[in-house]
Amino acid sequence: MLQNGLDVLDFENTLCLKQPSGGRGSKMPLISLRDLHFNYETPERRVEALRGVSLDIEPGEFVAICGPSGCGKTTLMNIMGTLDRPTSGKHFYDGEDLTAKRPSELADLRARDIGFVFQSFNLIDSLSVYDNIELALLYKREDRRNLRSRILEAMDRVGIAHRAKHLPRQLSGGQQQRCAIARAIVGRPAIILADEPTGNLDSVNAAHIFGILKSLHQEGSTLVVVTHSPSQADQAERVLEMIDGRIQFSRRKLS
Amino acid sequence: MLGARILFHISRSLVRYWGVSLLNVIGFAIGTAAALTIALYVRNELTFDRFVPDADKVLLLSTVYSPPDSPVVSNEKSPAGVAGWLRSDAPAVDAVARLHPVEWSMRGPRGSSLEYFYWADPNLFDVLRLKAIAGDLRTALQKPYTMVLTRRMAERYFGRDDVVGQTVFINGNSAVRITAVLADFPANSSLGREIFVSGLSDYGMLAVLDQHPVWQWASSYTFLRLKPGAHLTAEEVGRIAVKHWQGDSNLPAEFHVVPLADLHFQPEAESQMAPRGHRDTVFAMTVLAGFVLFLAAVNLAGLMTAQIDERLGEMVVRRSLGAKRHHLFMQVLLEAAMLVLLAVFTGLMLTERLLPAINSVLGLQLSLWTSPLFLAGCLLGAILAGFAAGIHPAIVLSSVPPASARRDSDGTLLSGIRRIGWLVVQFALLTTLLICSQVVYRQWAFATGAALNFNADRVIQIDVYTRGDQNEAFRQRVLKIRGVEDAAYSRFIPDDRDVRPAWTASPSGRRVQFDRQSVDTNFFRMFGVRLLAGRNFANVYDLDQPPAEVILSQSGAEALGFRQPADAVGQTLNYEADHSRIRSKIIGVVTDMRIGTVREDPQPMVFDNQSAFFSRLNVRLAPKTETATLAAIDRQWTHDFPQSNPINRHYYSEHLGELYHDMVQQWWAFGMLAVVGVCLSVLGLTGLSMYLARSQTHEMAIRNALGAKSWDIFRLRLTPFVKPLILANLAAGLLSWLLMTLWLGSFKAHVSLDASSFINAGAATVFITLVTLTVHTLITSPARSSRPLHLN
Repeated sequence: MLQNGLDVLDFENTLCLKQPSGGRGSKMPLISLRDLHFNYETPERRVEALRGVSLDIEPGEFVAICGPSGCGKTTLMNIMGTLDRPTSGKHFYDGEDLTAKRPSELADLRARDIGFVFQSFNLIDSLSVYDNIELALLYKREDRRNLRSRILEAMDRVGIAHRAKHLPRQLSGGQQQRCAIARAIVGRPAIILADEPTGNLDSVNAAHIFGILKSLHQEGSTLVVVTHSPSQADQAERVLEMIDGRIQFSRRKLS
Repeated sequence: MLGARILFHISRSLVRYWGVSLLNVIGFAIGTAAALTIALYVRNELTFDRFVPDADKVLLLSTVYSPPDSPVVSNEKSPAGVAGWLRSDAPAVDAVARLHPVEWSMRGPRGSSLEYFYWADPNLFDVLRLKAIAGDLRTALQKPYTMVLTRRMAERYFGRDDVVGQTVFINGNSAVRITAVLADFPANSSLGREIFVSGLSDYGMLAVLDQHPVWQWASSYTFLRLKPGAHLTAEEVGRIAVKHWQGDSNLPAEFHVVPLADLHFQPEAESQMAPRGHRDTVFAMTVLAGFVLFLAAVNLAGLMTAQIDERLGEMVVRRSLGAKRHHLFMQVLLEAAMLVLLAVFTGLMLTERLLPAINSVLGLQLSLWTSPLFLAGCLLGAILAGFAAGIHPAIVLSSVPPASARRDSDGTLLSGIRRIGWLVVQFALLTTLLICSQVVYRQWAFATGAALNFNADRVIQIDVYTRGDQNEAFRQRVLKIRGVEDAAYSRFIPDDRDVRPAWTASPSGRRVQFDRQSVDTNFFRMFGVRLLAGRNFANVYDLDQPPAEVILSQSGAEALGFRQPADAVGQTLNYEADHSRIRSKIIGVVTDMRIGTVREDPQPMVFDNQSAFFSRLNVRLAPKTETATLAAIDRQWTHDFPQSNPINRHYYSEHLGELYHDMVQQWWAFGMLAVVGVCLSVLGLTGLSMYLARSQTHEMAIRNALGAKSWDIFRLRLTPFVKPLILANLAAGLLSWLLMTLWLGSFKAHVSLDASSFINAGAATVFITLVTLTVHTLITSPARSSRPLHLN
């Protein structure tokens, strides 16, 4: 029988039950969700976007979340990134319960440990590429003297340094997403959450962007990617398949 | 049918953006109400005394005592004998009538009080053709012991207005029969009093004056009506008067002939029937009315412009569907027109509700419905102003090409500049209002405080009618009343009524004009007037003879050429006054007292100690005991003078209120407009903040995802307002400095334009901005929702 949370089926050629916590080995999970529910209220009805999701993500892990539109992937991602609070359930980050944290503490956590990459890039139109990237460090309250070198390093990393002074509207979609990735990694976050990062890109750019994300993971970053692309999902270490607000399958790639 | 469809579309647009629509209506309604109120005030000033039929053909004879090179001393009254001479000697004169003011007790069925009324010549209503509601004005005053009064006065004494044939008693038991009732006078009347008693009554002052026609004392208000087409010059009046005075007068008197319709704006004069108005005040108010309407229009234009980005999409769709530019232009303009019509109607209702309170505070009787034509003109002006404000957003929105609405950021940048431009104008106007309000208030506080150069705090003045020992006994008893700090007698001073001029020559031969005052030995001490040299009077004297000793004011000593106050002490002052040449010894010099306004320099004064002329007991009350103390003084008066009129007392501050009534009105107007400006700015800011909150939702969500805290988000909301605030303060500072430098220049003594007014106004605008944005940010609680991040 397929269940959510701790009792999900783990496809590693053979079906087996996943351990309650700890993930690989005995390390503490970076993100741990327990019986998570999230409801949207619309004027017409209440929508249950998440219905009791439990999940652990280990440090350094590369997880892909798949599923049809409206199954709750983005909602799950938002809660992992502390952008939304769950209606009920527990949310742990590095062993710390985030459920009762104040907004300012969550803001600090996002600035310090989480990098976001969105499908629609979400760059600020009025700021240059450089300034958009710098923004992530400003909210991290980094020492201003070190900013420049780190921003240049991040831009070099994604190949966008020559566009530093351009405004987002002067860049192609692929360049904008590279800028968004640079912004996500410049603060050296513990985890990168990418929500359909290639959804607005052509196949060439999509492959390039996904390549950058993969290389970040290979260098040790924890990476969670929401994607519709089976080929991209196949490259993850673990694939979570969501349907109707629940994780229906968890498939771990054979090492 | 088409009209109904258009109206439907427009209404739907307004409802869709209901928040901004509501702010627009409220803002423009407040502006309209303020501008309308000021317009009514201006009309009230410009129609002073116009309720008197042919007010421009009724002339008032006023007297001017002004030797060459001396300050003009003008008196609204004229010597009583002149009226008779004009009747006999001036063929141009059709009718002459006098009014002599008096304060006596009056008793009717509804009680008694000290009443201010006029002795009037029997033919008064041949000159002032007022409207009667009962009785025949042609014969109403032809017999002694008759009187005419207004409906309001009839109501006061009888509780009804059908009082013809009824009797009242004046000054005890003198019966006077009512022969006619007049329609009520409006508040913008210079006549002041509303009861006219026949001057033929033998105890009336006019009867006494008619027995001494050569008296030069300016005692009566003299009104003339000329024959059709005839002219009468002031010089002609002067020649006739001098002929009858037989040329031996020491009074260098001249006359002015002023149409009653112009009286309100004449320069200040002694013995005015009513406080004067000032054309510069009316001009300033007219400018202010335009100013506040402009501010409301700016607010409207700013808020409509703020919607541009939001409505670009809608306009693009309409263009794509075939709408032409003029269709869109008309749509936006009609939306503006509908908002403006709603706002003007709301403003009208608001004015109707607020006018009673404003009338009560400013002592006016403004009414919306006095002149329907004027009201229609004002409303039309407001509608046109609002309509003009809608043109800018209409032009901008209608210029959208039928392509992508947000095709580049230039449009956004441009509309951002437009928004900031409107904001700068709005803040600059608000800051200017705040600065001007403060300066006007400071000048008023200065004029009624430090500029007086004496301590006028909590001083009441009691009219006294007796002479000698009785007065001093009363003063001693008053001093024993708990809550009385000091008391001193004077002729009228520090009230400036009934100035008596005196003239002498300076060492250079120039004639110097003095204001003569009579005071007792306590006067200088009580009012904190410092003795600069010499000594105070040792006593007072009650004889009708010239004073042996006098004290000069500082400016008086300077006018006589004494370098130091001490140089004047011991000298003899030769001066002309009261038909005679007087020699008095100067025994002291005191600091100047300003009993006139700050529009002129303090008049040189010469004080004597002749108690025969004392007409006021000045009493300083202790703080916080005033009600009980006043009651005790009233009881003492009744006890000491049982046969006399009821006590007539007033605070000196009331006199100052009359003296500076125009400045008080200006201060109130500025204050009221500052409040209106603040309201409009709050509405405008809220509208812009609403717009920015909507347009910045995406950016805020991004920043939130990157770890921005609440303060960072608030700062983001605040940032667009920083530059406009700075620019507005700079512009307002410059504009206010120019305006207030001009305004203060009209005073001989004034406050300095220090930085505090500018800093306070700047701080106030920053405070208003911060509070408005904070409240709006808190109410709308900047979304921490992730939704905008996932909208393409």
